Amino acid sequence: MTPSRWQQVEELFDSAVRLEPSGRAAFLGEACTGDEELRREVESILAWDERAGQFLESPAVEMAETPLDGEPPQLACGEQLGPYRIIAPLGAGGMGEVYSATDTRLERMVAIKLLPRQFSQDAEALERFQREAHAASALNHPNICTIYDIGEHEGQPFLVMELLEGQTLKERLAGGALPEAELLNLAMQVAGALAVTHSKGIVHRDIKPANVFLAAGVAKILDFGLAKKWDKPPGLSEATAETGGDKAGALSHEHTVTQPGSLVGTAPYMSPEQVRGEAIDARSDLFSLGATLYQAATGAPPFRRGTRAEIAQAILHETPVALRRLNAGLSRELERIVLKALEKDAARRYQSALELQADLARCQRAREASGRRRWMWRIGAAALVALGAILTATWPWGAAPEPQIRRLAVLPLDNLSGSPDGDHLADGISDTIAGDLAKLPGLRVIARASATQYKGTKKKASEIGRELKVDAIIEGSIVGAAQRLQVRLQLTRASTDEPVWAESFDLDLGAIEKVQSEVGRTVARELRLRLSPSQETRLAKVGTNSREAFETYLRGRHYWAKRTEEDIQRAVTYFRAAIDADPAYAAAYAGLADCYNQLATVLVGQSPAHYRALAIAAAKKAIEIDDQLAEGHAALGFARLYDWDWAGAELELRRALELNPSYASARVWRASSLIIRRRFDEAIAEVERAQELDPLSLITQTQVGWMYKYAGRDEEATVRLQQVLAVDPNYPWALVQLGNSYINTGRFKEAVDVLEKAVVSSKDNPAMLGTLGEAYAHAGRRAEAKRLLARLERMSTQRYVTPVAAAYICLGLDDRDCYFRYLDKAFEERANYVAYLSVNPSPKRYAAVRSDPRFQEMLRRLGYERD
Amino acid sequence: MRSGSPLDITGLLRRWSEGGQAALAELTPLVYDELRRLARHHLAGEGQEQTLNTTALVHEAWLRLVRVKDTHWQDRAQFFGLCAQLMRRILVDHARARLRARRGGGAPRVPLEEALLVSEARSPSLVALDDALTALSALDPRKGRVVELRFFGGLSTEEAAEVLKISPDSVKRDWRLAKAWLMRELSGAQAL
Repeated sequence: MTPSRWQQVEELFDSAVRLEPSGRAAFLGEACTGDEELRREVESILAWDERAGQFLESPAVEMAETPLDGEPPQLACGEQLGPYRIIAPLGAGGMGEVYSATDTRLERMVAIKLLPRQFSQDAEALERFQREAHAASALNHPNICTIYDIGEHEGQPFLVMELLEGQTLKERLAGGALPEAELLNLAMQVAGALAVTHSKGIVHRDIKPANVFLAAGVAKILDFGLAKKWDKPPGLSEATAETGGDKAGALSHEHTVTQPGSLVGTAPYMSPEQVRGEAIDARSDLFSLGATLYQAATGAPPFRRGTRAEIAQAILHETPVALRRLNAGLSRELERIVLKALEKDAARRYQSALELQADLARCQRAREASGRRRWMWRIGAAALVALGAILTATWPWGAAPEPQIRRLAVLPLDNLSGSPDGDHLADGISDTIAGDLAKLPGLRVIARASATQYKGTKKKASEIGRELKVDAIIEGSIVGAAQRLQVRLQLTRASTDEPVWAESFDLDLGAIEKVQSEVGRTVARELRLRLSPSQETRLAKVGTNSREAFETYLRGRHYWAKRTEEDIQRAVTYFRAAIDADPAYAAAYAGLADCYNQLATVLVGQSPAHYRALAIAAAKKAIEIDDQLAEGHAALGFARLYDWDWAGAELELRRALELNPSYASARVWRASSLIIRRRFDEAIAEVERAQELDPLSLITQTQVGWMYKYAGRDEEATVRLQQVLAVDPNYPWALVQLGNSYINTGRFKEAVDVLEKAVVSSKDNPAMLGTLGEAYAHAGRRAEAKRLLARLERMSTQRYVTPVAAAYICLGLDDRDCYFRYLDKAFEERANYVAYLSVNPSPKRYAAVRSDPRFQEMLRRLGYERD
Repeated sequence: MRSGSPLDITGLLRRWSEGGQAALAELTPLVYDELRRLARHHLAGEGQEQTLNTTALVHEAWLRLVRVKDTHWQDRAQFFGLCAQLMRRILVDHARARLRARRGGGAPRVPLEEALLVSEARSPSLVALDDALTALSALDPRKGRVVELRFFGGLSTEEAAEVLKISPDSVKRDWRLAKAWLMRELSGAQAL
């Protein structure tokens, strides 16, 4: 680069950083008109500037890995310390020099740690040294570095210990985070060793990466130089309590270890109680282990700050960044475990090392169970990052000459692998991509149900673009099988039928993580991508590492979308199986919640009292696992709505839509929430948007008609519902809504016709029987209406029958006592029908009951103002 | 103090500032030894309680080597500048030696507890950083110096400004661009 060029770069950079990040692209676009290369160079440096964080902010000296070369070693090769003959110096540090040596009696290799000369006079250092000897020699465990002996050489104390070959975890982590499997293995060993240590009433007090040694897959805890016995506090679990009171040991037991105000431990790994200089117990070690595991999982310790005081503040007051934001490949379960270990309040942490170890073991078993199926979701993630890249690169900055891509469909990938297994794989990958891209703000991704219809299509992008009203499509294929697989993806612009981006991902079972990061980076670079961190995080949400869980989940969604009781019960089975395969799979809990929510509706017809509670529990579980999952919030919103918690429902549904603006079902439910509050126009707008997102879905289209009906726009409702029936003449949900619309508008004969069909195609669904009964009554066929009422009564001895069904018939029969009798029941169990009573879509249909004081009383109890 | 009286240092600094390159040649080993000695002392002696602080180190070297009343601020700034350069050499040489030792490998290693509170940031190796910094200096020598002073010398923005005789704002601007540039260089990402 020429000096004048560099000066240009510098000037633009200086100007750009003074602007808000959002305004920089426009500024550079203008400033660099005609000089694309200049713009890219400045943008690239700006992108790194945004990531600079604490880079180079700590002076170089603090980066030095070990002490600078110190004094020459005191002991020479061949020198004799009692029975030990020195072989070579191994290293030196603040607490002494270490040599390799042979024990001439046993002819074994040992390591000797010699206390520095200047500390020989230092009573505190001496005590600490002896403490290490005593503490560690009391422990005999494969995961604790064994102390053999203690001695003195010319007034300098030394320690004889197991000679280890390998490296410390700290050294290992200099190369980056550990793979999760290795991390779990190591963590369980350390936790096991700590369990033993704690059972002897000893707290290590300085667990950190530098004190965990890795010797050929075996983890060893080092350095008991700070270890202390602690007075067993109340409330510790049995494992530590049993032997924790061993006060007769070699160590004195005491609460405070050092002078007030002085700290012992290594700052970034200290527990809050350690930082405060309070009494500590085993749980402090678990915090430090949590901090160590956090670093092993993400590459950085949880509390990374410039100074010791800042670290202390962070330990005391700041919540660590969720691990998966730093390393998206980690499992949720591991994240949960580490964050639990890092709870500031010791009472909320793991209470014993064994408890922690048990959770780690569960996490490991879950991984092994999903085992080799894990890779598929990785490619999904890699592809996503890449695609997110092109999409964000082409759209929000607006600098591209091409029209922006605002609506997009992901077609199912073609399975060219020759294996039927590949079908699931292909669907799974496209589904993952669609689901995650949909989370990008400003981008609409056509719902799966609509895109699925183009599986194997020969249509051109422009045709599909017209039909789905999208600007671009993503299509592709998978080829190869078993061990090696290639996924090809292409983004095609609908306006031109020209590919904008294409990429192949080669998958080797062994190198998935590499593929993921490399592909993401390569593509990102090629496309000169700038993903904002929040977008990256959203894209990185893969959901589960278990292919089995994901496939089962997809099947669940398939049946859920059909909405009949039978199908939903089947979906429940699949979602439960998905949870079995991956107990930390938030989306599966959300799916389960959606099923329970639907089962609790009048139309599907199971007991709301029973299923709504289940729905709330499942939705909360989903949110607990992943607060960023739109489905969880939407399901909770749905449940709250019919629990008459209007504000709570609105909150959750809006949150869901913030998280995933393309989530069609959440839009439908939000529309319901608006309808109930009589905000008709907004409700219609919301449900129309849902349909745009999912243009070919029958259930969504039916719900559009349903909203028009509630908004009192029965004509439009009728048109919409007839469109659905043009596609599927026997679709019961559209039939029953159309029947309702006909009743509202006094077209009773037509109502009877469509409702009879609805009853047949829904196999005698009680709510549909009830609506038919009401239509009979209105049409003057009162005897038939009464027969249906009796039939519902009989049915209710066999199964749950919603009281709303009978209420409909009573309404048609204009039998108010009967109506309110059933309505009372519906009210008690909070049938979703009740929530809509204030809407009064059809003054005529409800005229008689509305004027009844019982109706007004009910509205009051519902919490509405009377209109 | 091994060699060189305070007077020597002050005189050498003065002569160097007047353009005497021979003075620099004499000055360098004196300061280098002192910095090394101080660094070693800090690193080996203070144990876990102490964060080694380059600024403190350089100031200490200054106090030890120079008779303060005989000097004025230009000498001090110049001295700090030299220290930063030398600290870079000491630390990078150390890192390179360590790297060689590792590659030579084979010897079993037993680690000791950390003697200093290391910034646990996933920091680039000093060796790679040194290379990148050399590349930056080729492109823009002043930014190279700013990084040397701030990062290796541990100097504050104001001190660095004093050394380079530019405004603190210029130091800040150089520092920001230099960091982003170095990060990109170290990431392996290609410049466009």
